[in-house]
Amino acid sequence: MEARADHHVALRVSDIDRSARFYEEALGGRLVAAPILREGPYIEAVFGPGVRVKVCHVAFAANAVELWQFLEPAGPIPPADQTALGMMHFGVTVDDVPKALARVEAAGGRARFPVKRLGGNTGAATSAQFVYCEDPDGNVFELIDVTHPETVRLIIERNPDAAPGGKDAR
Amino acid sequence: MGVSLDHHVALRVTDIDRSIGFWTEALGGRLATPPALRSGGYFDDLFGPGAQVKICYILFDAGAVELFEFVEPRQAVPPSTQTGDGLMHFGVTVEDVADALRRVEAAGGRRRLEINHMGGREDAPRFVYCEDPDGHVFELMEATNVQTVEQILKTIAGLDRPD
Repeated sequence: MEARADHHVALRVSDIDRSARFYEEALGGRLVAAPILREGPYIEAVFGPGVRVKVCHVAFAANAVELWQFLEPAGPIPPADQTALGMMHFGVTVDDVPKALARVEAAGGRARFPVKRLGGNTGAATSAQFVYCEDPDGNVFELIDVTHPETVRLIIERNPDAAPGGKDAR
Repeated sequence: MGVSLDHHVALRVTDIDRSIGFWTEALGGRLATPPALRSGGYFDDLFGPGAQVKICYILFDAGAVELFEFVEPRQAVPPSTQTGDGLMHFGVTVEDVADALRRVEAAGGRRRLEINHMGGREDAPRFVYCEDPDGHVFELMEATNVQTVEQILKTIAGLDRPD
């Protein structure tokens, strides 16, 4: 094994119970470690002096979200301007994007734009659909109905220049 | 199929070629789609009118990073404070944290703290928070997320004990 980048995605939230419920109801996650308050030397080594934080884990068929509600320091969650953020969003594979979006909206999330077709930008739309969503704090995730390898295959099929070792598209 | 959160993590970077070098050298990622400049059409809906962005995908044994270098608008990547961020970091499972950290540092990354054992228990798997060349935070762990949850539940049980 080299490296697996599917251990967890850590999200800062303003109300951990609300967020745990959202990731359970909207995406069918399972609360595998309930919220607990953490403080002391170990937490301070990671996050700084005086930090107090509630943390929990919600697991999915693959990967997990780690939710953090800081009691100290408690600041607002910054708005997720994709072009100004560092970590922009994370991708979530679902069976059916419109159905998943309906659950996201019912659970208190929202779509950032209407559902689109992958490749629809090039005039060679695929059947794969995607949409960018926000959780109740505005953290952005992408719903998409193909796996990552299939996404890459579709990109290369429609953009032969994107094949590794092909024409340099830079 | 259930819901899988391992499709990708999207990172905004200042120099996509430098970042490709980092993620392939530090963690053995594979460049699956080389950087392509994208604009117009739905990219205006995704990122605002006039956005121009170079994008590529790097795949790992599981999961992926999607790297975005915006040509327009061009803004500095903000420093990661963890306690002030929205998306804070992402976790990476490796076989040996110390070995992986050496590769990360050789490739231009850095550690944010020294290597620790989960829960402070010497027999528990190790972890360390690192930064890529833009300061994006990722956590190296020598445990899967299922094994990590077992460790957390042990830690929580310990918190309830007066000793």
